[in-house]
Amino acid sequence: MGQLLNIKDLEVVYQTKNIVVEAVNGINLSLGKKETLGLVGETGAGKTTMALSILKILPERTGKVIGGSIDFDGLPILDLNETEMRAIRGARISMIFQDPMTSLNPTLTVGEQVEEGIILHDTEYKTKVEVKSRVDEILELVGIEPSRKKCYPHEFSGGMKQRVVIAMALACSPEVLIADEPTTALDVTIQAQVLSMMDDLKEKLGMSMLLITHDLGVVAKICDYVAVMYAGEIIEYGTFEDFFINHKHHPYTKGLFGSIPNIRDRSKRLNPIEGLMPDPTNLPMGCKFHPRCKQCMEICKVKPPQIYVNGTHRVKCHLFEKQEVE
Amino acid sequence: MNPLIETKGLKKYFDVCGCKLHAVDQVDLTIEKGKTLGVVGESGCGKTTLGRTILGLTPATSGQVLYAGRDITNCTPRELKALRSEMQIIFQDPYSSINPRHRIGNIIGEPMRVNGIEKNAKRRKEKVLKLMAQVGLEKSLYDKYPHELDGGRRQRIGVARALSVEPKFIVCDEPVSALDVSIQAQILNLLMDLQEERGLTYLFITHDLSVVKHISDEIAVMYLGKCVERASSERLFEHPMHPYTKALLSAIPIPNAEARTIKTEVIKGELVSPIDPKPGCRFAARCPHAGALCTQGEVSLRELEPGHFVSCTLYTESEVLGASGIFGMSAMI
Amino acid sequence: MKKRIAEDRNDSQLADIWYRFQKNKPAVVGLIVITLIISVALFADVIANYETEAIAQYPTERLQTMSGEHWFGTDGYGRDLFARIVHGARYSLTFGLVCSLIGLVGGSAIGATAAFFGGRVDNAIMRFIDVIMSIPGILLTLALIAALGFGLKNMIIAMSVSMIPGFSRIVRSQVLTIVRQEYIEAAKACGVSNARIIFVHVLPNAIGMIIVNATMSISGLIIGAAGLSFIGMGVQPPAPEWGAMVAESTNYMRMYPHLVFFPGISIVITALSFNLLGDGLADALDPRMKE
Repeated sequence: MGQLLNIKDLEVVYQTKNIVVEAVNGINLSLGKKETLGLVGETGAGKTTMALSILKILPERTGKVIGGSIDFDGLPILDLNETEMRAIRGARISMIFQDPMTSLNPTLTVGEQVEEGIILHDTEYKTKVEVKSRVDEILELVGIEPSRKKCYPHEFSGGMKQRVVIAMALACSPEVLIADEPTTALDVTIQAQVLSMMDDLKEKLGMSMLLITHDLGVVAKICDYVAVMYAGEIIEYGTFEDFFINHKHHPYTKGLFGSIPNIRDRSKRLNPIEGLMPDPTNLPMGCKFHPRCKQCMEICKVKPPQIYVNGTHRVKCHLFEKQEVE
Repeated sequence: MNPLIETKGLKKYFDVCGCKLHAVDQVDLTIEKGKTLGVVGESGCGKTTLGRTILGLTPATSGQVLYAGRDITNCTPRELKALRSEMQIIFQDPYSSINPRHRIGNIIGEPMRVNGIEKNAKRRKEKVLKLMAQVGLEKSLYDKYPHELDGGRRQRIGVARALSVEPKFIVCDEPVSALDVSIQAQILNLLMDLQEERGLTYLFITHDLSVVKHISDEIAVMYLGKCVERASSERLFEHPMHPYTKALLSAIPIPNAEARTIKTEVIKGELVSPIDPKPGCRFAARCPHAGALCTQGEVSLRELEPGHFVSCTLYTESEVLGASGIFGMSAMI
Repeated sequence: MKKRIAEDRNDSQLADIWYRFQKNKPAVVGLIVITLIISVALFADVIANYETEAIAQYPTERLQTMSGEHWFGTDGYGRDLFARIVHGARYSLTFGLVCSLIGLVGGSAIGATAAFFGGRVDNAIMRFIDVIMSIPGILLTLALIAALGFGLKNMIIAMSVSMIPGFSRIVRSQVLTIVRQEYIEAAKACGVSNARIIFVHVLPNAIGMIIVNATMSISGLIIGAAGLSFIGMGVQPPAPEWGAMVAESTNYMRMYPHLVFFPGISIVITALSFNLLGDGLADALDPRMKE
């Protein structure tokens, strides 16, 4: 397999004295070179937890990986020590966070913050002049005038700040970019600007991207592969075509599509998923989605479904068992 | 024609370091009884201030707000208090909009109590329970505290609290923006059901055009304090005329396969604050079709076809008069 | 991911607070010690007679070490150290509790007024507070004592007054954040009166922080009172104030360290307990506090 990032049976919990939160429950995922994978799910689905475990930056005291492995370009991430991880973070795998307002240090200029990553890591840019020209280059790439690098973050608008954050993440030409809800905090027109820029950039730089979002529309815009997460599991995985051209989906995915107000659609009412996300400290038996599922069967309540594969399309649902037989 | 809410030349300016921030500038709206007006715009466009000013939570700088034909901008505090049970508001953030120290029953019952709608504690509890059932909250939550609940349930509390005084008009200030997609749809459906049952009138504020599509009868698009386009919901989506409305529409990521193939036109530039704005169209700086006319003098809202108001210099009078079928920018570009 | 703490129990908020509090073991220890000290202070007369044991001097029994008859030994005037410490608890607790209460009430009134009315009122009040705060606390207290004269009452007044500026700042900032919350606006939109907003919506939300600060300030007050007595500006002999006891015994410190040790350790334990309690309360009163 020519995959860059392989996640196998990953299990992560948040553990405190009395409570164990099962955040990620056995995830298998892989990301190839130059591919973009969209990870879709709602609050509490475990998307961010998974991203944090890839970089090994889970909250130290509570977050624990209790099973599985993560393999990055032949390196077993979970077995690496802090020093080895530091060489990977920011240089080979970068991450951008949701809120551009809080991910920049207000006391440093934008240029200094972009520079920091380049200096910290062992890159090809050694001399001061080289670093400076790299900063200019990368700022230009994300659509910021290099002359503005002496400005402080508060002099930028939200959209521009997110561009700076992206520039910081890209400064060392990482192989994988993890973007955690990169456009959620932005206005619609600004979101469109940032999205189209990210789409161009990944082509230009040839990097892989893991895009975490709750918005299927964003996924449709730039992703090659899609994985839908629910209660710490991937319940559906497939290519762009599997998701947006075929119409056979996991009932949860169907629910997600039905919940989105579609501007092309003329119907008056929406078809939401009833009920709420399950309590991660007390997950239901069997299929974790069964209490909210409209097509719930007896078997769903007792036995967790296996994954049914159809070409590139993988669905974790008992409904698909029948279709296989037929 | 029986408008419940009407604004005439409504203005709200804020003083910011000696400058004037034109949060709401010359806005004229009407909302028919039992209908929903969606107000759409990005951050800083004054949509929230508009809602607050209509309710009298912040005093207007000038202009009028008419409630059932009566000007309420110059009400005495006593008259304003009486109006509180007619007009209500649902807030965006289900976390900061309910008092964490109060039990859910008390939160919903308080407006009934202070407005003297139901003074008897026992009957009040009955009413609150009935309301809770209507908005889809379990009875057992009556004695719970809000921090034990998730965002969706909290937002239902916000809805119940607004309904407790049996208002006729509700300002919904981004009631679903802070919620997960599947919960969003639940709350939207709830609001639509309640409107049908009780004949409510809504002012629905949001930054998301796709959200108002379902719930609104009419939509007003705001940009930096001004209303740039107003039309019936269907007409606006079918045939947007203002370049900003078009930009907003095309910026919405659509979850289907075509989204990839259509190369959307991304509008350039950033949002600024309307502090001491220059005369002319406020969108001119970002507008791909901006011309000399746009920055000279005021650009006002004109009715270009029945019920469709646009403030843009692209559409000349002659075109309006002559063209009922050949609308559209294509002729202009 | 949200954690539900009180799901299965009878979830009154007090029970919830207690549940979080009792998980903080040092705070529980602090609470127990404070309860002990308070009961000692309350029953001081039962434990030892003030006139005959704590005040009366017995020159024949001076400077004894610990024994069955005098648990903590006797001081330079032959007074039983244990009896004096037991009665001293009354002084320390009175200072701590009364001064922080007065400071709290005064500070809350001033701070809440400033935050609520804002604008010029706020400016006037806060600049005045700034002026007072620019005088070092101990200097202010000393100046007030010098002006008012010695005595327990005057000392309490002086120390309370110097507490007020700090409290009013804390309360002001608390009220300012709460007033900006949407539920205050929601209450206004429902037609709730200003008075009801202040007492039903604002204060209950600020009270947690205020209580915590009051508790933490008690230890400072106890130490401050001891310090004042030590330099002779506080409680006058022969009253058995802990700080005064340390001061009286400094002459004998080389030979009889227990004379300094017992009052000293009493001050430390009491102050520490209030600090631990305050810490625990701070965590317990904040529902967002992670475990």
